[in-house]
This record gives sequence, structure tokens and C-alpha cells, in this order.
Amino acid sequence: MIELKDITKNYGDIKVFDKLNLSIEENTITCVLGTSGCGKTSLLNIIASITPYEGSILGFSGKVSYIFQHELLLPNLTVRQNLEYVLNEADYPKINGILDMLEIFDKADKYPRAISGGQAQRAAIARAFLFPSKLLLMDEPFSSLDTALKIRLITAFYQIWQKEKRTVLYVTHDIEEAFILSHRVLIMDKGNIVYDVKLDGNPVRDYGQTSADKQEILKKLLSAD
Amino acid sequence: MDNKRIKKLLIDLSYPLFVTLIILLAWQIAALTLNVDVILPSPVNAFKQLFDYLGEKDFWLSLGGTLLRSLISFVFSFLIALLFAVLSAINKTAKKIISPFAAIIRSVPTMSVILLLIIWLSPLVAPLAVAVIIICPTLYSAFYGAIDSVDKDLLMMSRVYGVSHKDIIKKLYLPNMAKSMFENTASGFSLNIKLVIAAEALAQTAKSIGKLMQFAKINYEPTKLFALTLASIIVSVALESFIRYLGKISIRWEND
Repeated sequence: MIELKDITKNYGDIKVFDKLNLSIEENTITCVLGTSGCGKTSLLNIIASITPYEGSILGFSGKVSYIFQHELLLPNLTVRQNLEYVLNEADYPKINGILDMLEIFDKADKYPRAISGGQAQRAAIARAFLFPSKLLLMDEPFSSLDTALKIRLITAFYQIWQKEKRTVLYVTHDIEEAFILSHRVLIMDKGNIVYDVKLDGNPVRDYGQTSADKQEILKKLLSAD
Repeated sequence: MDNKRIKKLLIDLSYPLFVTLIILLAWQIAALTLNVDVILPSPVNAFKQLFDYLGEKDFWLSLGGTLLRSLISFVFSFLIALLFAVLSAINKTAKKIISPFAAIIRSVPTMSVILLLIIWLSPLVAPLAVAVIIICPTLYSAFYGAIDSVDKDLLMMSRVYGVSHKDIIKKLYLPNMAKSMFENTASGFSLNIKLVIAAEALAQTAKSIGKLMQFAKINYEPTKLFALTLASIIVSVALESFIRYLGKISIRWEND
């Protein structure tokens, strides 16, 4: 269990978190759902030690994989070289397999400017999975993709995830994405967790499926400011 | 090289060639109108004089001397500017000290620097020192800008994934600074040659284009002056183009 205890974060006069407490179950996919500016990205940046904070994080130390909102690929390296950039040489043989699963094997030797945004985002997903870490943070990784590709990638993502079952903390503002991919959904509003639900069954759920859980999540999300 | 690339190269070359042709044409018309060769020699005469120079050993020694001084001073300027730019990038206090220092040096009139250094130093060393003092602050600002312009989000990503400092410098900083570095090196080297020649002319440095120019002026031989100017322009443009070409083939990811 990863425990965030009394996390406090201010940006000048703006208070993002005031003694936030949160437990994240290991080997599950937890989604934080919320509107823009509610503190979702700040939460990931705190866990990744990018942003300084007050409080403590227990049960986790060491390497973290992070899929950022933007793909953040080095423009001067090919897709393959971008993956090698963060890996040890021993992990290089795994590259082809994951690129194949994410349908970008034929783009391995292309520079980022020569591939589409969706393909670049898949390269970023490949990088996060190849990097040997126990915790995977994701900041709206599928938001820039069209629906068909989003569903295919979420399915591929889950297949890859099942092999190692890493702890995933995932933020999005898209209720559909949250419902399809997560074991547990948290709704964040103004830096506080206002709703916490463990979803029935396992991902990947059908796109557009209606369920009591989803209705409740939508209701809570709408009632949050 | 495929047809498309040859076509692009020809189009790229056609613009500077056209501009050069216009300048030479305007010069020729002005020379013909004035019709006084000792005031404004025609480009034809200037080129003839240049070809005469090409057969003279003294010209080649002078050109070699000037180029060697330009190269040495530029290497010094480059290294000093890069060192200070790196220091400024990694240490805020260093930047606070170096930046105003560079700004002050940059605003000192070039002629003051040349004249003072000619008084203080030997004619052989003064042109070197002049070029270093004038070029260094400009290169420093350009290099600092290049370091500062590297995407901070990419740096953050590299740190999250625990990439080594060596790889961050080699694969993130250097390639992403390269374009600006090559661009500033090309234009800086051209300016460097001009400064060295100016200082050589005033210091009467032995075996130098500057001294040949000064002698042409003293003896009132404008054709020679124009021929030497043409030689300097050709060498500067050739070196500048060569450095830009090196930059272009080094930054493959922008062309592929």
C-alpha cells in the first residue's frame, strides 16, 4: 500500500492540497477523476518528486514511470533511441515486442517529428512500461487520441499491465476512460478526494456501457465544483 | 542525391547568386558612370587584381596569417564563451556576475578596444586579443541562450526516468543546442575575420591582409583595396557556408 499522509502544497497564495491523505492499493489501477485545475497533475508530480511538498509518502521509494500529458520525446532521437535513452542495455531486447503490441513497430526508426501525435503518445506509453519501476503514473495519456484508437490502446495497455501488474495511478477528466480501465475511481475536487469507489469486475470494460457505478460516478462528478 | 534534393539545392543557391549578381551589376554601372578608376574601380578590374594577387606568394602568406589569427582567436572566444555560459546556466550567482560583465564589454566601442590593445600589445598579438574581447560576449549570450532554450519538460522527464548526467548532456543538451551553436559559430567566425583584419590594418601586423589593405590605402590603390576586400568576403562566405553545412548534416533529425 502506498500511503500519502498530510500532503500539503501551495503555489504562492493558492492552496492545492491541505493535509491530503490517500492510500493507493498496490498492483491495481487507480484512477483520479476530476475537472481541470483540481490538482490531479500536481498529485502525480508530488509522487514523482518533481514538485516539492509538505507531508510524507510511505510504502514507496525508488523508480517511477511517468506518462506525461505530452509525450516528451527527444526530437533528436528516433523512437527506438528515445526508449533506449531511459533503459539499461539489458532491457533493449524488450523494445521490439512492446512497440509491436502498441502498433508502432514500423515507426521505431522514425524521428518524433515524422510520426503522428497518437504514435508519439504510444511511444511514451512504451517507454513507461519498459522502464523497470513498481509505480506507473499517467497524466491523461489517451486524451489526444480518437475513440477507436483509444479503445485499442487501452486494451493493449491492459494486456501489457497484466504481465507485471504494476501499481498504476492514473488521472483523467474523462469518465469513460476512468470507467473502462480502472479498478478503483477517486473523484478529486479542489485538492480533496470527495468520492472513492471500487468498481465491479475487471478492466477492460465495454466503451459506452451503462452501470450503477458509472451513474454514481457521474452524479458525484457533476455535484463537485 | 535525388532530383528533388538537387532541385531544392539549386533553388536555395539561386537567391544568393541573384543578389550577388545585382550587387555586381550596380557596382559596374556606378563605376562606368563615374568613370574614375582611382576612386571607384570596376568589379572587372577588382577581380583582375584579385587574380594577380593569387599568383603572389606574399598574398597567400598574408591570407594564411590572417586566417590563422582568426582561427586561434575564435577557438579561444568559443571556449571561453562556452565555459562562462555553462557556469551561468548551472549557477545563478555566476550568471549575476558574468552577465553585466559581458554587457559592459559588449558596449565598449570596438575602435577603443582596437586602439588600446594596439598600444598595449605587440602587432602580432593585438588582433587576436581584439577579436577575443569583441566576440566573446556575443558568443556567451548566444550560448547561454542555447542552453536555456533546451526544453525544461524534457529535462524533467529525464530526471524522473533517472537518466545519467552524461546522457543528459550528450543526448539532450548538446544536440538541442547544436542548431543555435552552429548558427552563431558561422556568423561569429565571419565577424571575427572582419575584426582581425581591422586590427591588423591599424596595428600594421606583418603578413596580414589588414597590412596589405593599409598599404593599398597609403599608396592610394583602391583597386587593390577592393581586390583584398573581395578576397576577405569570399573567404568569410566560404567558411560561414561550410560551418552552416556542417550544422545541417549534424542536425539530421530536422531534415529526415
